[in-house]
Amino acid sequence: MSRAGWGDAAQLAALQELQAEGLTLDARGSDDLIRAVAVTTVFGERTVLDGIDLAIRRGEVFVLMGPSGCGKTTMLRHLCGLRAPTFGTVSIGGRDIHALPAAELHALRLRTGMAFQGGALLGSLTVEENVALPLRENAGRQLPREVIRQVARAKLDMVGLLPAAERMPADLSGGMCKRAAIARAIALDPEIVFLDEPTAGLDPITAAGIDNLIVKLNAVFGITMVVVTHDLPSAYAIADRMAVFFDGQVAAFGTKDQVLEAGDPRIRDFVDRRMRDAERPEIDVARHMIL
Amino acid sequence: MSDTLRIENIELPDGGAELRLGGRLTLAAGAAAWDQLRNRCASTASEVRRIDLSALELVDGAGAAELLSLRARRSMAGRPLELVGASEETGQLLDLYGCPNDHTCLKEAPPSPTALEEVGKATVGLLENARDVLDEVGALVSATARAIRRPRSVNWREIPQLMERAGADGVPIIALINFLVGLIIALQAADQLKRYGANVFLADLVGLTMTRELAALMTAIIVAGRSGAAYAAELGTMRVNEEIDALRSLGLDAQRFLVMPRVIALAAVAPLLTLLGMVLGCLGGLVVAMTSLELTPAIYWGELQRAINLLDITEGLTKSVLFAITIVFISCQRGLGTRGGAAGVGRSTTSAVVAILFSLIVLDAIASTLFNSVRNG
Ligand SMILES: Nc1ncnc2c1ncn2[C@@H]1O[C@H](COP(=O)(O)OP(=O)(O)O)[C@@H](O)[C@H]1O
Ligand SMILES: [Mg+2]
Repeated sequence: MSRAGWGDAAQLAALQELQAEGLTLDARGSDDLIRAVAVTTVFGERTVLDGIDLAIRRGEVFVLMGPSGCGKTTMLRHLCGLRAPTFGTVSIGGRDIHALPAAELHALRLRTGMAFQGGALLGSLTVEENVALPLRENAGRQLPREVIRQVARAKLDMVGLLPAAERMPADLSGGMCKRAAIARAIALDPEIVFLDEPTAGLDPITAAGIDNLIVKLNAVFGITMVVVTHDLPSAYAIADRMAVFFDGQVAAFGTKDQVLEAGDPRIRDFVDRRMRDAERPEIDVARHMIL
Repeated sequence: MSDTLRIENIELPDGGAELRLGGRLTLAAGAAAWDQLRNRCASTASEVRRIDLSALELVDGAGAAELLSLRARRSMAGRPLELVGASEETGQLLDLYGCPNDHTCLKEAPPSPTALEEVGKATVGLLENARDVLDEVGALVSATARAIRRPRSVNWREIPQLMERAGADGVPIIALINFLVGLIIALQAADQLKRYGANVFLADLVGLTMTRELAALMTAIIVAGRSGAAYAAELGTMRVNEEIDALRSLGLDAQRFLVMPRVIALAAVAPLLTLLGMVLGCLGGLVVAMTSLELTPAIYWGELQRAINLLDITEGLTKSVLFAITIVFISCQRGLGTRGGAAGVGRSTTSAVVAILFSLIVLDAIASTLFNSVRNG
């Protein structure tokens, strides 16, 4: 795939206009793009998150780790604005996203992407239509059909799914679903992408491919990545910094070395077990993965 | 080797008793063995202090769980029970089931709520539900306003397919039902009318009830069963699969993207189906008029024309649009509010259909009253 493949000059201009539109989030002179303060979530009588503080920097791959059921997905939903926490605030670019007026929240959503744990592809649309959906519906002054198609196919090519573009989501394997979800999340060239368990339940080779993809998207496009995982090899492969959740609190926070060397016995235990599980093979999947 | 449990009772010198188990303590040993073990623990004249496992040939998971629960029960009652002589495997099994001092497995199930509590909960649920409904009404109204201001923002491309599914595919059943309803009304009335020599008024009776009332209602009931249930299940499944959240994260609003097209499609299709229903209902009446009242089609038709005016047809069509919006609205609201897996989708669908049928009847009563006062005033 090459950039030259994107139709004529007019189409390219329309595309660039779409991509250039307001794609800077005002960080108010701080390195932190996303900030969570004292985020607390109560479901019924259970406190799932208990005063979480996080700061995620612009342009990094940030990993949220922790055992299953510890509230990682819940935290991600707070961070991306899908659900307001019971207490506490989440701000992106210095603005409290759960207090934004609807129009601004909508604008913010277009500048962030989210890939759900199960993919959450729309079952009634093909893979390509799923990726094209945000372009079709949100690109303001209606992009030409051909541009939408080209962009969608380019994104699918990036994640190695071009051959499956015409298939329905029900006909995809687990790994393909996750890659399609990532393609859809990056359809609008967002600045921040939230990924929920992108490698869970995949074989080590496919998982390594997805890790590779995450790192490259981060390196090439400078996308800030917030990745939830309970998969330690994966976290280790991609993270610039990470936070480990235990019992609804941040048990460790920092670069991966800081976290892994942390004294907390729960983390040692978690880390040791996970490390024994899988020695992740190093696989070069770059060729079909990226531009 | 037998598949049974043997229990031997040994008096201890200090007054207590020990049970020595032999054979197999397994699920296969059967209910009798389990009861026997419990009874012996509970009823021996001198209190059982120890259970000796050394002669057991086999303990399975169920057996281990039973032993541990016996011990936990006793220690909660303040009369500890010792398990001794476990072989290495049995010991490991007991460790696996673990939690020697954890009695959570013995917690009483929470008492079933009293009638008063149930009533209270139901009331709170109803209030919360009412708030949800109001939220949804608000969202739908604002989505509608937006759709009118910016028609381009509506997801038009889904509408033809929705109209086909709700409309064209439903024609045979809707035609049949309305025909039969017209026929049934006529059958019930025919005898009475004949007695008074008022044969020709059959056309008035069937024509008016079908146009004003029954065509719209019967059609709406079928549409509720076909499309309402389908929408609730469809949106419920999307909710359960996080697809609704995915739409939101893509900046697409479920009201605009999913509900508006359905409102438009059904509101467009329902009056057409109802019109068809009116015609078929009158035809049903005609069959009875010809077979048992010796009326000719020309007379029947003439009387129909005399009896039915535009207001009657307007009444039926207005109701059908109102019903269509209600059907979409309730089914989508129930679908989008689905919680918890496949069973949740089932619950949403059921509650959508029930709520729709109830609302249809209530709305029909209100609308009929209004139209009557228009007619008389
Ligand atoms: N909408 C909800 N209502 C009630 N409980 C929830 C809800 N969402 C999540 N939970 C509970 O919160 C806990 C954390 O869930 P989640 O964030 O999905 O965990 P993780 O992604 O770390 O595995 C779980 O115990 C889950 O049952
Ligand atoms: Mg999760």
